[in-house]
Amino acid sequence: MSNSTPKALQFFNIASIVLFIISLSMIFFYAPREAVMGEAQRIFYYHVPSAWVSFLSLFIAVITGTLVLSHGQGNMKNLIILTVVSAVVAGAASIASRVASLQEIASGVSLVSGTALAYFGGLAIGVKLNRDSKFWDNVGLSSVEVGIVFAIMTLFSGMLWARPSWNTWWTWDPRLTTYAILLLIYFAYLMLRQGIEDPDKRARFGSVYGIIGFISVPITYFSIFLWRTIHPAVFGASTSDTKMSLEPAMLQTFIFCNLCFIVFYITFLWHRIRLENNAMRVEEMRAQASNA
Amino acid sequence: MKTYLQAVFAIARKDLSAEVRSRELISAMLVFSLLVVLIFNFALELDKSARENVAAGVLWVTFTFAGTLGLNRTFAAEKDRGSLDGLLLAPVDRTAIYFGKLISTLSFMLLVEAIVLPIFTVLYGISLFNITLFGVILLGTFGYAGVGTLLACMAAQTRTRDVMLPILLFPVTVPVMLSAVRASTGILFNAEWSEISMWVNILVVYDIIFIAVAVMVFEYLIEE
Repeated sequence: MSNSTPKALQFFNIASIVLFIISLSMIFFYAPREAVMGEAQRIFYYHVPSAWVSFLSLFIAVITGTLVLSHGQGNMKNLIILTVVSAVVAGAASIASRVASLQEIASGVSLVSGTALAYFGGLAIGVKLNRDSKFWDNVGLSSVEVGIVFAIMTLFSGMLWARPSWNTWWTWDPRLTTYAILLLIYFAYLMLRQGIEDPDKRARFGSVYGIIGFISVPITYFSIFLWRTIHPAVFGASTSDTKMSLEPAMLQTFIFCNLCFIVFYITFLWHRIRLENNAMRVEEMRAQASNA
Repeated sequence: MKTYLQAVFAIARKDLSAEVRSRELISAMLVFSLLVVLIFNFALELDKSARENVAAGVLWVTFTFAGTLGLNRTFAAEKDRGSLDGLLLAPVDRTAIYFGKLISTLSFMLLVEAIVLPIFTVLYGISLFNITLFGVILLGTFGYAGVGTLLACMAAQTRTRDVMLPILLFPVTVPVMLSAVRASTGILFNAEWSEISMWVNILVVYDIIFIAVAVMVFEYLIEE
């Protein structure tokens, strides 16, 4: 069986490199210099997409985790109904959030229903693909690993940005603290998997912890945010006050970088999935050889 | 329903009777808690007002660490003695095992907390006898034990058993720690109920969400 890189992945490899070059050119030559923060602000174009992609990859791990536990099966009709209902609620809530008095509740509802929409939609697609637990566990593990890489990049780029902007490498503000906890949760995920030998058990436990970890993040963020707004930031600059003036050219660069990062994510994820598949094949061959 | 509840309480009673006979776990948790309080005394050089500020935090750190001991024992002992298979053979929903274990772990933690509280009052010179505080401690311990029982089930089946549980548990229970400490501090400083209530709300929401999730996923963790 040929194991050469599939055509589509080769395309993604080249696309990633090209987009990387184009995005860097846009960041340094097209986007204007920001008024308040100066040149250091340009880190924003890689820092924020990196963070968003890390959340995306961890969310995908929740979807694949659910599919692992359900063995890739599911009631398609119910899933489609749930997807459509979430979409309707999300749409209604985003329209309702235009009304000033409803703004807070409506944005909260649209956020939750938007997440539900993504979750059920993802599950529906997953069930349609009709793959087994092993496949979904592979995707989930790869997604978490790639997500951790992006998360570490986010933290480091954030620190590099924080030093010139706020004159400190780190503050304990809600977003940073929650993000650090998120990273610790996913390190724990990897450590949990390493400690289990049975692959089926490893898949199940990983899925459960991935789901629990992801659910705890919004609650953690909310509780730390509540804590910090009551006791105003004692550690230097209040980071939530940092506003950025976004000109059209900056917005275009930002959106373009987001798309680039999604391409990077797909590329890395695909490579990692292939790596895991090859590792499993090696294990099988080794087992066969020792039995023979 | 009746058989379900009977199973839950049978499992809880089993663990509690075993503990009453050997008294290993309670004494270990108790001594450990006192040692933690002692270490904090040396680690943090505190004058009276600073002590009042950190009292709630030190209390909850003590409960957290002692709770980890109790949680570790919950499933590890079953696994070692092979009695987990016996539990799995029982013709009852798997979540009965979860609730049974949760009740026994909760009882151990609450018992240890009940003993530590008066000692803490004496050592720190702050009165901790307050009904609202008891309520917060109950809510916080419930949330911590709820997630802890689920994760202890996972950790007991890994290679690095005892070490794994804190690594899994602490990041996920940050909201419980934070809310419990904030609420406890508010109560000790006689703050307005409106300030304390939001932390209690977070504790309640956390407890509900995570017990619900635990009930949904527990069967996937305990099956061989």
